[in-house]
This record gives sequence, C-alpha cells and structure tokens, in this order.
Amino acid sequence: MTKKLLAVTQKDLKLLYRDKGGFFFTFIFPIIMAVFFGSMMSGSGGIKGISLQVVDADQSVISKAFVDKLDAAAELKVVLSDEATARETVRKGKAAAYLILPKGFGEAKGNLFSGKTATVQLGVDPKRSAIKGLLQGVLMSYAAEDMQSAFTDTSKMSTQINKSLAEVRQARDSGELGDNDKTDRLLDFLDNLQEMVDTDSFNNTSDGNSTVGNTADDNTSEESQFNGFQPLIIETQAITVNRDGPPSGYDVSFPQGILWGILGCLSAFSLSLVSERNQGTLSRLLVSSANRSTILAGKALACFLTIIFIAVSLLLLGKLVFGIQIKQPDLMVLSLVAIGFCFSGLMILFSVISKSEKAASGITWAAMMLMAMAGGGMIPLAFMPAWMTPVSQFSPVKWSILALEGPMWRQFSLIEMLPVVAVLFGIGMVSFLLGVRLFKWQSSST
Amino acid sequence: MPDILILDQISKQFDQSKVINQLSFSVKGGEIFGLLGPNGAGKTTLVNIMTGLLNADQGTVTLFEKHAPGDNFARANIGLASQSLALYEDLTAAENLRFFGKMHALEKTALKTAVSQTLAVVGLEDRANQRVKEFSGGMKRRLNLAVAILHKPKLLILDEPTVGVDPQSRNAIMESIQTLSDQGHSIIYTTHYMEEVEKLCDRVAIIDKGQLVALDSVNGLLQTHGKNHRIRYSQNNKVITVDSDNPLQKIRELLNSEQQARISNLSVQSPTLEQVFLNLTGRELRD
Repeated sequence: MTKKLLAVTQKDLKLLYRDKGGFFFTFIFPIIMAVFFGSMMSGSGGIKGISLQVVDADQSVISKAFVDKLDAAAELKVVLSDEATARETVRKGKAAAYLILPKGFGEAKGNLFSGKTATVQLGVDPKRSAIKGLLQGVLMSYAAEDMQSAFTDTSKMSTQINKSLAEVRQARDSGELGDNDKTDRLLDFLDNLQEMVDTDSFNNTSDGNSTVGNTADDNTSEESQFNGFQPLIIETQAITVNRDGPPSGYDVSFPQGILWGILGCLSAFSLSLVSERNQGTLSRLLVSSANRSTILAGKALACFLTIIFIAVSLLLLGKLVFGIQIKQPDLMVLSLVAIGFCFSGLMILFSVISKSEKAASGITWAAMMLMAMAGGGMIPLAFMPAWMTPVSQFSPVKWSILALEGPMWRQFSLIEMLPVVAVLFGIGMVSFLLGVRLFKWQSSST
Repeated sequence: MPDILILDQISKQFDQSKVINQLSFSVKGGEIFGLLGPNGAGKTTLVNIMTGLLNADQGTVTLFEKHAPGDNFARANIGLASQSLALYEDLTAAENLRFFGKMHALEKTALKTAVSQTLAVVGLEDRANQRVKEFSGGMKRRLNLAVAILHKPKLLILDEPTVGVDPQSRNAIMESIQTLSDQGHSIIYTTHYMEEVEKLCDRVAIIDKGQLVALDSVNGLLQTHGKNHRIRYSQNNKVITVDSDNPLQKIRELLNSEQQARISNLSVQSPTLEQVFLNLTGRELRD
C-alpha cells in the first residue's frame, strides 16, 4: 500500500511541476506577492476600530476622562486591561496595539506651559506597523483637544498660568534654566497672559471657582522645563523581542506569500482529482489494486510535500535575501507540518466536492478568496471592520499566518503554539476524513 | 475452459430509469466476447459493474469462478481500456506504464520487463520517452490498450478501443488483441464497428434497453437473425435493392419475368451483422 501511495504522490508531483500554470501560481506568484507587499508594508489606509488595549495605571480623574474619550472614538476599539495582559495580547496578534497611561499621567496632563508633559507608552503589533503613525495621530489629536479646552476654561487657564509662573521662576532662581533671555520672555508672556485672562477681554471670566495664585506650594521644581505646548509625549515600545526591535515588512509579507503559494497548491491539486475523474484515469486506478484511501492519501501526501517545499523555499529566500527572522526553527517545523496537514486535508475535501474542472476551479478559488480575506491573507485584519475579527477565527489562513509568525518573530512558546497547531491539525483531519467518506460514497453511488 | 465471468439477473437503476434489467450471460475463458448495443443500451454501465466501479442493484457477478468485482484478486486480474483515453498527458508513455504498473504492484525488474514488452506489443517502443500529449490519436489509443494489458490480466475489458483512429492504428490494435487472445487472455470487446466483431469475436451479445436480445456466435446470429439476403440489380438504368429470405426463388422470378432482358448487374449479398443488429434493435435513432 505504501508503494502505491508513494507512486500516486510521485506522479502528482511530476504532473504539477510539468504544468506551467500550476507551477507559476504555486511557486512564482507567492514570491512576487511576498516581495511586493513586503516593500509596500509601510502603506496605510482608512482605519476603523483599531483594537487598542488600554492600561490606566494612573487611575486619576484626568486619565479616566482620557480613556473615556478614546473609548468614544470611532477609530478605536478600546479594551481596558492590565499591563502584562495588554502586552501579551498584542504580542499574540489579538490586538493591534496597547497604550499605557503611567502613574502621574493625570497630573502631567494638567501642565500647559511648564512642568513635565504627559507621557504615554504605545506598543504596536509590528505586523500592523502601518497603523502606528495613525494611532499616534489619533492620540495626539485627543490630547490636543484637552489642551484646547483648557485654553477656553479661564479658571483652569488662570491656575495653570500661576502654576507655570511659579515653576519657571523657581527654576530660573535655582539656575536650572541657562538662557535667561528666553526665560524672561516666557515670564513676560505668562504675566501678560494672566492679565488677559483676568480681564473681560478674555471670554468667560472666572465663576468663583478659580484657584488663581494658589501655586506657591506646588512642588514641581524638578519638572519645570518649558514644554513648548506639547499635548502628549508618545513613547513607542517594541513588541515581542525587546533586544532586536520590530521586524521588517518582509517578516509580515513572507508568511502571507507562503499562504498564497499554499492556496495555489490547493487549487492545482484539487483540480487534479477532478481531471482524473473526467479523463478516466481515476476509473483505471479504482480498477487497479489501489484502494480509494490510498489514492486520496497519495494525493494528499503530494500536496503536503509541495506545501512544505513552498514554505521552506520562501522562508529560505526571505532569510537569505530579505533578512526575515526565524527565531524558533524547531517550532517552525511543527508549524509547517500542521499547515501542510491542514491544507492537504482541505484539498481532498474540495476535490471531492467538485464534479467538473470548472466547478473545482470555482469552488476552490472562491473558498480560497474567502479564507484569505477573512484570515488576513489579503488585507491585514487591523484594516477590516470589527465584525471581521470573530469571522477570522474560522479561516485556516488566519491560523496559518499565526503559526508562521509565532516562531518567526512573535516568539511564541510551545504552549502558545499548541492551540494554533491543534486548530490546523483539526481542520486538516476533519476535512480529510470528510473527503474520504464523500469520495467512497460518490464512487459507490454513481 | 470454465466461465471466467458470470452475470446472473443483473439490474441497475439510476433515478427512475432502469439501465440494466435482469441481464444474464457468461464469458468463457480464452474467448473474445463481443458486447454490442446502441447508444444508451447499458454497455458502459455493465462494464462498470463487471469491474466493480458500480454495484448492481440486483443480481450477482462472479469472476474467475469465485470472486466478486472489486475484490483484490478480481482487481489484480482485470485490465480495463476505457472508452476515454485514461492517460496522463504530461507524462511520457513509459512513465504512464510505470505508474500504472506500480498500482498493480509490479516490482522493479518485472515492471521494467513488462513496460518494454508492452510497448513492443503496441508498437510504441520508439516513443517510450515521449510525452503523451505529443502523440497522435492512434498512438494514444495503442498506449491506452498497453496500460490495460501491462499486468497481464486474465480478463481484458476493452470499451471501444478503436474509436477515432486511422485504419493503420485500428489494424495494429486488432492484431494486438488477436495476439493477446492467442496468449490465453479472455477479452470482452465493446464496439460499434461490426466488421471488428465479425473478424475478432467468438461470441457476441447484443443488448438493448438494458436487456439481452441475442447471444450467439457471429455465424449463429447471422443464421438465426439474418434472414434476408439483399439482391441488387440495375433495370432501365436504375439500381434496385430487394431484401428476401429466399434469394434463389426471388432471382428465378426476376429472370423469368418479362423484364428479364433489361436486368443487369445482378448481385446477392449475404446477411451482415449490421443487418442483424438493426433487425434486433430497430432503426430509430438513439441518443
């Protein structure tokens, strides 16, 4: 039986390599995709509902108000979390980014003209680096909104000016500020501004809640540098590997390229069984000593080997030419076996479902497109509507990309990899068994 | 020779249509058995039942005295050359043969020998390493036959093996079949070419609408069902054809008639298998 199985495998591999169209879509097209999208990875697009893990370590009124503002933003889908969970969630690719509002954020956020500027820490999934700039812009715009509202609230404004005057004077007197001219000009500006706020010329005068002049005992001398009206400082943090920094776009595009190669392979092998049925070779095989399971297993093995070959070739090309990272080769082997098994099983199911070559081509490509779209094989999931996230759980492409990225740069542990490969093995096994059962039923009833 | 195939009361139905209806016959070891029938008569369904590709709804099929279609012994001892060219076009002739040989569990040396011998039988030894897609229709038909005989099956089922080939290739295929028969292979031969049946087959079964309508040797069929001789003659520059079950009587009548002087080019044609076939299955078109 093994010899017959291997004979089917060898024959199918020969046929694939001699079919120019099949060869192109299986081997050449994925390389083009990987290189092209790798070089384009810095591009951006309209974003809705970026999943953002927010850690409010400050728990102040101001920090809570800022979180509420982010939560209400259409561009963001905020989930409150603790720091460890937030980092893990992003590292595993389950959220696009995390944002940490550190202790003191609220107090610093109140500083307008002096003192330490509010700082946040932003970590973005390297695979979605295109959204980093956009997230920074969104955060800055909301922080600037707060600043703008402070300028229009005279009581807040007056308090801030007094606070800043005290801080700057203290810093000047202690010699912390070297450029006296600049300091004097800043003090003049703050004095004039205070006068403006205290007169009717500045709209909405104090309503009695003002805390004007109450800044003497503010102990902020160590933070007295003039902050230049910057609403927020965003410190970006590298995800996954603290030592090596974020991976390149090729680290993202090559897994996608591998998946495209696998999908091409799936299409070619799905068609092969239908072609055999139509041209009569399947009948000839069924009359021979080979049984149905052997024939299907031989085809699945050919598909599996081709998938492994595609993946290894692209990973080698990516590593040698484009410098992609493969940090855990042992786990990568596990991933490749799981991916190969998954798509070989799917190939059998697709090939058995289809009655004609046209139907096989249509069904396979439609399924491939759906899987690729839903699984982030075409457009990263971060750029898709929020409802796509649960849908993507059903796409083997999503799990395959995760299985590739885990050992490449997400630095998944074996425990973290196991659920991913289990899903892939499960899909492959169910599909193969369904395919064999359907094939036997079809063969005996038609 | 014992019967190599026995069909007993076989029926097969697709949806509401009965394709094979209570059909019974047997094939003797070593004979060439012709299976004739108009389009849609159920020949291919019957072939599929014999080979185990289809299960009969009713009745039994016995192969090689005690085996059922689809069991390992039966599969190892049946060779099928289907109507379609069941070949891999992107493989060479030798690669096709090697692959199907492996599927019949032929081992290295035996496989190598079988491939070269089979290629010689069908006259393709010079084309062993040429891809099938570069072959002519006749060459493909010969290779199709070669794949069926590669593992030296006891029973060879040939489903229209000469369709669409030139006279040279057809002649070569028929010579190969005769050689195989001489070597002791039993052959079931379906075709629409009556002259091939007349030339090759020891016995012929004619089936129509899933039922057996006649089974005999070619001579037996002609004697039993080929009653009318065809008399052809010219009279007043017109060609006239008359069918008669007593041609001598008919010619006497013609020669004794007043028109005798004007009759020329008189000929009598014996009944043909084609006439028998049409007599038994009718003249309406079948689709």
